[in-house]
Amino acid sequence: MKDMPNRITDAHSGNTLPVCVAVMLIVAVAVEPCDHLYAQFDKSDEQPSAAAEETDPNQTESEDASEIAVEEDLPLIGDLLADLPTVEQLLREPPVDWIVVKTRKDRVLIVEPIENRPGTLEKMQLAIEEFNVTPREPSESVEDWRQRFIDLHYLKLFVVGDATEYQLHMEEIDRIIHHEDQMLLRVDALLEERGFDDALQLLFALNRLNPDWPGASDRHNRLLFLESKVHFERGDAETALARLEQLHARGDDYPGLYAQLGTVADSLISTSVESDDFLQARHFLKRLQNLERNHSTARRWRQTFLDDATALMNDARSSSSQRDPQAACAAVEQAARIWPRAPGLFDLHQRLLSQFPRLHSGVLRLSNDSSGFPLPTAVEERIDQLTRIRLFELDSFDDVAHYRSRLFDHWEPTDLGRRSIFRLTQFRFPWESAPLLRSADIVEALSDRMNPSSQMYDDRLAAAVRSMKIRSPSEFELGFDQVPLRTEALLSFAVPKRSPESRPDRLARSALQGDALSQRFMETQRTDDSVVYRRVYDQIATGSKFHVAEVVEHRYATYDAAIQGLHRGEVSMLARLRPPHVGQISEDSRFFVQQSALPFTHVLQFHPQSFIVGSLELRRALAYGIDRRRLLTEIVLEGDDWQWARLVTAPFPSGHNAYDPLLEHRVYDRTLAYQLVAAARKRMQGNVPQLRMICEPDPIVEAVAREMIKEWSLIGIDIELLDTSSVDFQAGGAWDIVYRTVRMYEPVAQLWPFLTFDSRAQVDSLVHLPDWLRQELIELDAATDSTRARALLRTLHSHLYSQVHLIPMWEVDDFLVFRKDIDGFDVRPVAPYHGIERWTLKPWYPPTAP
Amino acid sequence: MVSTHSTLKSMLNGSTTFRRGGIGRPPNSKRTHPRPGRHCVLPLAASVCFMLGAASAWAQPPSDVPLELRPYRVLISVGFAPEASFTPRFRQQVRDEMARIADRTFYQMWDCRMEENTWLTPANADGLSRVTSEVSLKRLGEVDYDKVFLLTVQLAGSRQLVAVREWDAATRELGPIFDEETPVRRRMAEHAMSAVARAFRPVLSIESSEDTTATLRLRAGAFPPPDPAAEQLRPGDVLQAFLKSRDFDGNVGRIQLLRWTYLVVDDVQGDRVTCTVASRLRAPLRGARRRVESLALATRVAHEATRLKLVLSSNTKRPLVGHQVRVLESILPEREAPRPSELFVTDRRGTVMLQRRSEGRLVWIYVLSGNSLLAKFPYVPGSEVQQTLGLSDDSIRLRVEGELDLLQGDLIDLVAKRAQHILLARKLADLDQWERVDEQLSLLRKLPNVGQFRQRLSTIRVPAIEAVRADKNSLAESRITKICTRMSELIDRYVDDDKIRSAEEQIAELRPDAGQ
Repeated sequence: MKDMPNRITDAHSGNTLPVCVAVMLIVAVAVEPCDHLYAQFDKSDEQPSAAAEETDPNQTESEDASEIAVEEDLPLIGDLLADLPTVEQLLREPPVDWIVVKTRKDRVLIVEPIENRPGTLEKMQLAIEEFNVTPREPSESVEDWRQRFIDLHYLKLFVVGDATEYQLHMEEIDRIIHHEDQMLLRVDALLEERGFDDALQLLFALNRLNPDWPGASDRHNRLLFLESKVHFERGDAETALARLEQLHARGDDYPGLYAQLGTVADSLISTSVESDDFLQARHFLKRLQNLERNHSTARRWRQTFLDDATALMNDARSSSSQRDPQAACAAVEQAARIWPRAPGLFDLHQRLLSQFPRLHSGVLRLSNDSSGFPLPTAVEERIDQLTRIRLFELDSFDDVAHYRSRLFDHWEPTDLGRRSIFRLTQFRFPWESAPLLRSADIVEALSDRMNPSSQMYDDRLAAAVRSMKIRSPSEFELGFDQVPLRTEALLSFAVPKRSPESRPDRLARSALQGDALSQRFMETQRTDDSVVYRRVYDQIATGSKFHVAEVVEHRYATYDAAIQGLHRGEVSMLARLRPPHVGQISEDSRFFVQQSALPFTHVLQFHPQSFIVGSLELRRALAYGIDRRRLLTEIVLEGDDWQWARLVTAPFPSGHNAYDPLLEHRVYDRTLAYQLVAAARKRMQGNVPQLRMICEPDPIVEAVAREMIKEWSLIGIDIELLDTSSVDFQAGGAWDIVYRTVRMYEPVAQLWPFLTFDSRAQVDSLVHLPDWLRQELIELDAATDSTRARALLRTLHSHLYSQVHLIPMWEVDDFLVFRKDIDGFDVRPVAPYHGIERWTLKPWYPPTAP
Repeated sequence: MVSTHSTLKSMLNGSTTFRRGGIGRPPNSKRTHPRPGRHCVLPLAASVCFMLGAASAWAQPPSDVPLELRPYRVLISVGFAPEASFTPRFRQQVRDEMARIADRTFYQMWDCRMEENTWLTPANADGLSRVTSEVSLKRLGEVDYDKVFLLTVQLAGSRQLVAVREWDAATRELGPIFDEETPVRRRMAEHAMSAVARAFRPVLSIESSEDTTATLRLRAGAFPPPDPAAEQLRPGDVLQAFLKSRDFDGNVGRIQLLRWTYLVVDDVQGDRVTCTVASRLRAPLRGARRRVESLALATRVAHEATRLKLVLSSNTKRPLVGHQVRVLESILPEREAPRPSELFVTDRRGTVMLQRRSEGRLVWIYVLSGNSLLAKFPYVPGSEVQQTLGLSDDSIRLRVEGELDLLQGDLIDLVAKRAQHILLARKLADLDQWERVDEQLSLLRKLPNVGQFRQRLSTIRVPAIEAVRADKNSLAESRITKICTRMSELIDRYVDDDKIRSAEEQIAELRPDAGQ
């Protein structure tokens, strides 16, 4: 730089200017040598700068050559615009302004942000004009006044990388592209490239820097509009609508906004209507109306909904007049879902549904779904309880099970319990949905269950019953080979249907559908996401009070979705509520939360044919390798306290009188588990095959299963979690471990089938158990007094736990939620639909808004 | 019912000769089947002896006539159900036709007589099933026949059903019921004789026996039947042994069935039969006694399955529920690893269903209780509807086995915990974390030791031994002692306190102040 012929020195420091800047300034001197260029004007000294004088005019010509050479170092505006700074550069690097010099072939001077922005040149021009019309103050000297006028024509600037302040005459400036303008230019480019996130980031940054920067708002509007369009094209119409709402809030006059709103809202409403979600359709319609009340799309949909609802109301009236309450209620409910504000709908809805109450229940799984899980679950239990009437049914549970019977008026043991006389009920309450059976029906069912060639053969019953005698059409007698411990548990089955020809005269037509004679409700309609169950025997109208006539089960993907459905009014009860949600729902005054009498026990079991049954070390390793406390807390209870859950050592409830609370729990010990796996591996010649696990189709159970598999992998056990829906178990698809939940209220009778994965207690299904354990189960099965049975059960409890024939993990209390419109349910129900025939239900009308 | 039409086909294709009245041979009859060479003379001699020695054709043959030369004296007693279509003429035709078939099928092997049964009520398969050995003895014991076939003819819809049951005079035993049905009325006699042939159980005399083999003489073995399909025995057939005792006067006394003892035919050479003995007992046929005759009767399989019931021998009303029953095709040699076999578990009545084998083969049945063998015996499934077996009480020993299993589970835990603590202590010693080493050693010392395990073993063994001694069950006592001794060895092997001491010493040597 020292060899440069033309240098302008800073008046204060004597620093040499950077070449490019120096050249530019020289150029300015050449144009207007007298006034236009000052180097470092320090106003505080009030000394005219000597820079002009120091500049040798004779050097001007000689500088022209070098001027051209160095001018090439300055960037061209075209190049800069073609290669705009990136988002990262704009946000992270120090801001710079670009000054495009008018006479130098669009060369750009890159300077530090100029003060007095935006519209710097315009503001300078404005100041000059103001100066011209303002008279000089008498106190100001002419020289100063003149100097001030000259100063107004110069832009003060700092070249990037140089601390020296320079001035540039405004006439030399073609335009100034501020840092903010550069951001907007980049935003424009990003919008073209559909880089909405970066563009929004830049606009936010710009808004923080200078909220009123010219052009920023337009860019933001354009961003919202374009983003909406792109989302809509991608099929995400709801986000598109949200963007349009934002745009509308910024101003409703954006070109094309009105039309786009109509397009997007129409698409959303149409989709919702197609998926039969009218609540959502009305929600979108409402959003559209909030923006444009009289939008043509909104008007059209309002009219469509009203027309549909009116048509359904007419259908409902017609069905009602034809004495088809099911169709009438279905139509009026649908009308209320479509357009609750339809005139006259509320009255019609209340009138029809009060006579034919329909209970909408939220569940996670419907019956006969495609989960493929090979063992019975709580779903089958729920549906069985809803649809079938067993001879004896569980009524309540404290420390033992208590039964009741709908079909018997009276049953009395005689001959020291060796005989029992059963008297069948001959009367049906108006609310009951139960058949009036004859002795022959039940004796035939018993005979069928005692016939070894029958599919219904029950070895336990066949061994217990010695004789059957029909004393009258309403009375029969059973003689027992051995006095049964609980006759009720022995006879806890539904009476299967006989051939329709055998008794067409006595039963209603509807009762001949389904597979059981003693039916309560039966499935009448099924879609992918719902199943309708209707009373088999219609209730007899005795007044204005009608009981639940239909149960409509709605499927939800998750527990959270089911709760949302409850809040939205889609369902009036939830058949299962998990403990983490109990507090939240209990606080809601719209609902009752009832604790079920029976908790769910989470248990791991082993397949009888699996090699794991023969390896005590491996079974123990699996038991020691589960951190039950953590899994229960973190996944099942979601961090909630243990008020509604406990670690257990048996597959039956800890509240049962045979549960031994003193049995020591196995403590999680990964090192010990690892040692046991090593021992098992040694016994298996160094190779423990991969285990296959299945679990109940429940989100929580699946999450726990996955976590357990991770824990087991740490001790060297490789386990694969099978997708039960893709495995054909009947065709030989095998598994080693199953994770299931169970509610065992009568372990004396239920433990055996549970251990053998059999629906009945068949002796040959015990073959996989050691002989001594098998004999203990047989002894329990033959027990005739409760004290002995309890003692045997406690022994079995201890032995099963010790030998790890199953791994009980924890039990979790179960809850049900009822909307307060439901009345008559049990305070401590033993099943979701416990006593449902007596429930009453006020018609629930959907809120008119949205 | 399995039809044996193949047997009869050969009969039907033969000549139509018959012996009216069931004895002798019509002068104009001629033999249609060739005789085997070595037996050509014997039948003739036998016939001569028989004809000469007997004043009457149905009189008792002289006792000095060898068994193989004695034909069976057979009575076929035919009962017709009271059906209008069974006219006297029809009945007579059936009997005559049956006699003709019997003659051409068995010829000299049988001296056959037909009669119409008048005492069987009802005269059908049900009535036949109600006949007991006692009734048979009362009705038939006085008549002088070796074999009596009670045969009934009834209608079953549009078909004719014949059922037949054999009564054997030598053993005074009734055989199972065989039946056949046909829609063709005129072929009823053929089916009836087919059923008779199936029900026929040859009689043999056991001449000599070793531990596992026996030699027998076949009655009427010198008279091979014209129809090869009517041969009395074939290799693989199963016989059941009887002991027939006589008093000083030669009168038949007690006839004892050797239960669970069978003879499997290995070879048939004319009248001489060699068999393999299969029995629950050791050498059941050895030790000849005076006035005791050892006989064998072929076993016929008439049922699809036999219900085998296991009961407690000390209390036959108490079934043995949930016991494992393994069925093998042959006996399992001592100390041989178990082979794949059918596995059953007795139901709540103590029963298992044993399906018949092809050609009525014998199987070996193993009844297990835990790790012990309760019983091992041969049997022919399908030979009876039901059979009951009394077994000793093994519940105390089984309970001991369960308690030892639990003890072994705790032993496994203990061994793993010991290994865990020792491993951790060594690792921590390497890291110079001596406080934590001491903690691990302390935990190690708190684990149960040999003495505690032995004490637990004693609390299992002693009461059990006392209980079985009170029951005078020496077998159970020895088995309990055996399994407890084995457990004691396991305890000594795996709960050796020396291992802990050794580990402690090794760790002590690693301590910084070990040398001071």
